[in-house]
Amino acid sequence: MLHSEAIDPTGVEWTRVDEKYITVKYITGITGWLITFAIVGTPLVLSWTGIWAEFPLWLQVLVIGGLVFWTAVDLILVPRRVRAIGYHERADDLLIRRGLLWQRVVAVPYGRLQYVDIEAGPIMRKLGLCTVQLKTASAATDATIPGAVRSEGARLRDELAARGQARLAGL
Amino acid sequence: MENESGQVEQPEQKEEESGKEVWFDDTWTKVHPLSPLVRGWVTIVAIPAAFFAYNWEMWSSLWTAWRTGELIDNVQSNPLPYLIGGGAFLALALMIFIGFTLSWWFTRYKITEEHVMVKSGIFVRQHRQARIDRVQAVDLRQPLLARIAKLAELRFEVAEGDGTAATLAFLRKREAEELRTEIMDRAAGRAPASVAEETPEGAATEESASRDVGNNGEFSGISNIPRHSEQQTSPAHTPVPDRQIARVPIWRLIASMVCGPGGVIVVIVAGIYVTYLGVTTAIVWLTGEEDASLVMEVGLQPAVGIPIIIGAVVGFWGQLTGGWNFTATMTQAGLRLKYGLTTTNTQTVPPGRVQAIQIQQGLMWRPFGWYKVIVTVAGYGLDSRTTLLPVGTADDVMSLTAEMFPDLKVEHPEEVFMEGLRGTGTQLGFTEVPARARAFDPLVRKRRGFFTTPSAILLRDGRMTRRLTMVPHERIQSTALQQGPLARWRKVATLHIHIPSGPITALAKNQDLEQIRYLFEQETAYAAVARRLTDRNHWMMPEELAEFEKNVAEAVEKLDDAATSTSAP
Repeated sequence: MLHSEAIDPTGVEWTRVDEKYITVKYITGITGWLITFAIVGTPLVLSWTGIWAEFPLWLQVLVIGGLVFWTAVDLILVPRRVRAIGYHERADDLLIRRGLLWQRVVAVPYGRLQYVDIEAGPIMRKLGLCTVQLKTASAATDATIPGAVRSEGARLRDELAARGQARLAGL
Repeated sequence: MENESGQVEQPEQKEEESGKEVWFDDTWTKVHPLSPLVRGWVTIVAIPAAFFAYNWEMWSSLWTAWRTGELIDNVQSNPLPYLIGGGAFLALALMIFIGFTLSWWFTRYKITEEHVMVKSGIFVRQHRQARIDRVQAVDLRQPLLARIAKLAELRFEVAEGDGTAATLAFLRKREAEELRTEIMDRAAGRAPASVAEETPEGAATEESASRDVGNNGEFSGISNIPRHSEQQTSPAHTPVPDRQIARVPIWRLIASMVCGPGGVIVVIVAGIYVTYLGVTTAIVWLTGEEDASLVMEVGLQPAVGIPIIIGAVVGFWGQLTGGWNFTATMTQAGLRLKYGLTTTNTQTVPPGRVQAIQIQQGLMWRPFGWYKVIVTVAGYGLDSRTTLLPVGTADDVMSLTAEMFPDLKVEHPEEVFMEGLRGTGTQLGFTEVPARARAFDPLVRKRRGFFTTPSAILLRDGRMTRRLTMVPHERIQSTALQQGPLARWRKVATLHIHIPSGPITALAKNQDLEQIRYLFEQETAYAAVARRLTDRNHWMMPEELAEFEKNVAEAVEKLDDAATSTSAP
């Protein structure tokens, strides 16, 4: 159960995305951090082996410590961040929220939908998840539901497309 | 060949010629035979110019040889190089001519009941079509050469896609004008010559909107202005023949450029430069020593200034051509803007296609009371055509807004309007950034706010450059409420209003949480009504209006139902 945040509209019960999306986020997050560590680590390793100039100890400690701390915080927050994603179908529009620190609630009227996209990368496919993306005439809309179960995604797409058709508004 | 790179940005559909299939038949019309010349005159001028400039020494020696009579002898004794040179020149001329002829032959257009279709290209064939009922605006452009030849280019802007959808270049000016009128009439869903009024639609929105507000009427924090729901016909759409709304005198245009951001920068740069020059020469003069390095530095300065000067000239040129002889005339098809120094442009923007409007006033324009008006029209994107008025007085702005924007439906629209342009604080019902969030917006705190009327939302911003953005509720695509950790701490939030891409971003930043949440609810509710406007492409067709009104009535009913059902438990 998502507890209601300050900017959430009153009386809205958010539907959370699938818990398996946490795994996806962990995998992508850890991969990302490993690459970061590799990039930052290369000069350090080179300096330890004596090929490159030596870095002062305090700088090494600061960089590694800072990076480890940041990684830890980022990874620890993953489950909460995923649980902060939610959507809610209202009579006339779809609400999507996201974010822990920087929160965003977007309301997309069905009639404004131009198309609904469903996409899934290899990891998402493996876990039977998908990302539902809503497009309006405005590029700023940026309404995505990441990590919906595929059947739910298909249902959403059909539902939204049907409602959009029924209530299509001109520009 | 040459013309392809110039005009076509986004091929909507590319078709390869499939052998026997006829690319076009007799129903397709050719453009004016001079079109390739008007379009590709640069090639005609540039190639010989480059040719002559590249080895001008040879040409000058040839010229002297000709004058002394040496040339004739030379040719007679050894004609081969001259024959080759002359032949190459002729071949080049012939190639250009053939290219032009072919490109003219293969460019054809056809106008059907529903589409404007253009085919072009010699090797890579291109077929573009634009649905007439989706046409957002029609532009008539006349570059200098086209003006001399009395030709004009027609551009159709369509909602889908970013680039210009279909370009007809070039037609006789009269033909182009007739075609424009016809297409604008059809885009509006109005039979030519018959006069329809747009007002019933506006009135219907008003009714539904005010009913909607009535549901949440107990909240007075946002706009405590009395709302009246009597049918009010907006002055915009009375069937009057063309009448001029605004005109920009050339002196005002130039003065506004001098006082504009570009002018200020130039003045500052020139000031610094002159001071520097003065100081250095004074030092040289006073100390009496001819210090070489100092003189060098002085000598270096103009070189540093050159990019700035070029930038300034380009910017000024853009402003000058964009505002030269600028007139805004209200016609039946919409607002007609005419401007241009070498290239004259005639733009027609139907009021029904304006997504949002913004009025700006720079710091230096304030003493003169000048404003600039820009609009978002789907298809225009970010280019200079989004300027509705380069510089105008408050009266110009007011009458222009009255034509192009739905009636605000408040009791004193002028007052509200001027408050939005100039006012600060919470007068008249505008909001401001709460004092507790002062740290976020120390300067613009009292300007940054919003105001809702039954028909539109007004967003006020900017301390130095004042901005008033107005978006009709029914044009909002989607809305997003955003809040960062610091904003949460200070209990403020930002509302983004999403409209099709253009020069205008509409957002109410750092507003009081309660007010902005209420606004969010309100805007989404408006969207619920607006969304039932079905297909509003034919915004003047009687059947459409009837359908629209029916839909709105249903929507209002449903909203009322929703309101009673939510208030019941």
